[in-house]
Amino acid sequence: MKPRWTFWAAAGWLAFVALAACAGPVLFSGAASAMDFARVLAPPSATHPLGTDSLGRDLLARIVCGAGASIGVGVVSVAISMGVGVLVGAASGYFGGWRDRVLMGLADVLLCFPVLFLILAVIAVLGPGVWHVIVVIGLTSWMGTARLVRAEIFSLKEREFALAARALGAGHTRILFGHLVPNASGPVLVNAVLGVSVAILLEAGLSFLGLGVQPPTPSWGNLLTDGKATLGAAWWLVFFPGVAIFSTVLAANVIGDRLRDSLAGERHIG
Amino acid sequence: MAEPILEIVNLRVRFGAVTAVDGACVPVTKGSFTSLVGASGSGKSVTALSVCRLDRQAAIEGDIFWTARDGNVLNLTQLTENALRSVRGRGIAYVFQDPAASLNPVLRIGEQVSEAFRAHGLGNARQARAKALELLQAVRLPDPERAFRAYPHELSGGMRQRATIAAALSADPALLIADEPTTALDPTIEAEILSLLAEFRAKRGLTVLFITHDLALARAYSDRIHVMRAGRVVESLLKEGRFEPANPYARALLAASAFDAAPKTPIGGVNA
Repeated sequence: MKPRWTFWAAAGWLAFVALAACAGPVLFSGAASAMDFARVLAPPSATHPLGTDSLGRDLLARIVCGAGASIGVGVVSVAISMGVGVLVGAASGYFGGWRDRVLMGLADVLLCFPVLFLILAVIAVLGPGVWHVIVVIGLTSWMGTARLVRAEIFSLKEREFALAARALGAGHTRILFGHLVPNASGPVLVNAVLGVSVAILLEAGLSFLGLGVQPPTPSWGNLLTDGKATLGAAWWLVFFPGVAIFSTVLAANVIGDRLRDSLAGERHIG
Repeated sequence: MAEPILEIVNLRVRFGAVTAVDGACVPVTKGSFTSLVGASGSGKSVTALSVCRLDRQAAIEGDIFWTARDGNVLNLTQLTENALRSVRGRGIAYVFQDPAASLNPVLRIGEQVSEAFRAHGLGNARQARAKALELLQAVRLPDPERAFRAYPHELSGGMRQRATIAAALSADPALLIADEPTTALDPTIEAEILSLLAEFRAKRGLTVLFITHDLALARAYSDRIHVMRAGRVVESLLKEGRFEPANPYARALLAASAFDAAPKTPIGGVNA
């Protein structure tokens, strides 16, 4: 089955957003905070393609600069969550016994908390900030990955190549991280891509509530908050950041689904 | 009388209530090509795996005396897991039945062939690579450089088994336990693989313990054969005795073999 056009469109869009997130701060650092009081709440035009906000700042520049915060939070928090999830799941599945029960018990306890409220509680204590958001999202979203990796390792460790590696004198670390975890990388990758979209949404939600990225640094979530006040007069201030969030999350989901499908196909053949 | 390198004495292996090996005694002399022959369920593979305690579910009793390089005799059944790990691969290495299963599908051949070398800390990355290439050459893979970079699925069954033999030999073990290494392969390749083992024995002084169900095949390559049944060794045969078994079970096993002692010529132009 060849990837459909939706996959390439999604991949193209994500690549474009990632590029914008990297180049944005360089190209638009001035424009994003430059205020033009002559053009306050101006609708989309040739000079300001996506219009301006209540302080006359260019919305396009702010969305491009906000991409860095949103994507950055998504990617880094998922990296943390994957790291913790793979470590916990691998140890749990490989050693089994009481270590498995303790680690999976911990995961079950964390799964009992509604994540958003856990995050709100932590931020209420530590105060808002990008790094707090990243770490909290990362440390509260690893449980799914851990369970997935645990299940994979459970079956992989009984495969003959694991026995062969042991017979060659490989130790636990070498067998686990050199042989078993690489074999589980497919499902982990799918989980990571889908996780990025969840994290972007969480960051947008937190910033919308004023608990994430703090103004004047733009992020897609706090752009929505800014726009909310003038929604009746300037629809574009809510519409375009919303489109940015929506399309990026959708693109990540399309890619994640596509990877999962091709992985499933591979399993049916192999 | 040659000195022993491995001596399995009164080995009993149980899995829960099932006794798989019941007092087996298997001596292996240094530099020999010893075969352990028996039908399915006779306990030959369990005996082989128990030497390095590779099956974690097995309850092992008895003694397994191993003569290390420095001449010290260790009882492997009494060794701690860590001490045993330094014997695995370095002193005693294994080749298993199905090379497709015993190679890791997501790692390149080169990485797997140099695994034991790196796991035992025998040298740096460059030396590991040189060792792997040397071994891939020694097991006669047609293009060692290419095989080094290949993934297991890119090789044929015979080539994969050559690669697992190379992997087993990368830390220069003294004893190679080959557990039905040719059962998953076709007969012409079987002969090539066994000739390869015989060659390593002759050139590098490798001791081979060959596990098989095929007594006639074992006769063609071994200098000593132990026939197992129901977890015991029922007959031991020496080459000087022309391997004529007296035990009725061993005779039945020989009659059941499809192996033709006449030397096989590889099918023309086909490279294993």
